[in-house]
Amino acid sequence: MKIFHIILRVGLGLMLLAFGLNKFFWFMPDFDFTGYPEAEHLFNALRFSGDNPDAGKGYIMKMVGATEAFIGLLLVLKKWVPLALVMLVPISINLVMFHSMVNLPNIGPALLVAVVNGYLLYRNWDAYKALFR
Amino acid sequence: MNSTFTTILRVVLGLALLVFGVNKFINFIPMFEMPPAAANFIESLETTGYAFYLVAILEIAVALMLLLKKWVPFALVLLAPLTFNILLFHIFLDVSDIWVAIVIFSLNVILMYKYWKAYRPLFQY
Repeated sequence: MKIFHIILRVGLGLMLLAFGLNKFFWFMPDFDFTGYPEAEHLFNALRFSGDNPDAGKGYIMKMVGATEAFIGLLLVLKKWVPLALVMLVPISINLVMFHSMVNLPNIGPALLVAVVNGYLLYRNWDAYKALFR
Repeated sequence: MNSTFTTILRVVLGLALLVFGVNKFINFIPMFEMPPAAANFIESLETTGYAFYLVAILEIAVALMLLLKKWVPFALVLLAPLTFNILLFHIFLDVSDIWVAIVIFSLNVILMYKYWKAYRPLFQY
């Protein structure tokens, strides 16, 4: 059972590291958004945050990418794991919402991240008790 | 946790969030002018159909928790990504109204500092 949890934690960490770094170096093939104009609009708005070179260009994607990569690193190194899982929650929720509302075909990885996140949160629940006093 | 200063901060933040949250449903604060990149981003959020409602519900929920002094450390953690991104939005896309963002973010940070003990367990292992 213990090894299963280690696999989950490290697996999630590596996945997040990969997707996070991808937002900087774009080494994975782009998602196909044809037929989903709202998704395309949002994704490009996040990626470029205005294609005017003077405007703060593309900060959001980088922000999300940096956060994902950081969380991934924490999970892989088993450092501050409860913090990493808490930081992941807004990303997981919005990942699932984005795909369920505007881009259903690519929902697989999003659901996987959300489910593993939820399960690991449940396993580590003791660390969060103090938040609810 | 019981000092008057903390209480004032908590109540002010709670009321501000309640106002902003309810505003997304009833729209009593007029929309301000934005540079095109900012307008494009806000518009793309609106086209999703759900993003603003999610934010509004979060703001109202956190406001209620803060005002009723229930689960305050948890409420502040829920709030942190929101205030942080509001601040970043104003820094990168729309510097004109940045003061409100700075104040809200600072209130969030100061209150989290006051409740620091509750967050210690997050940094184990």
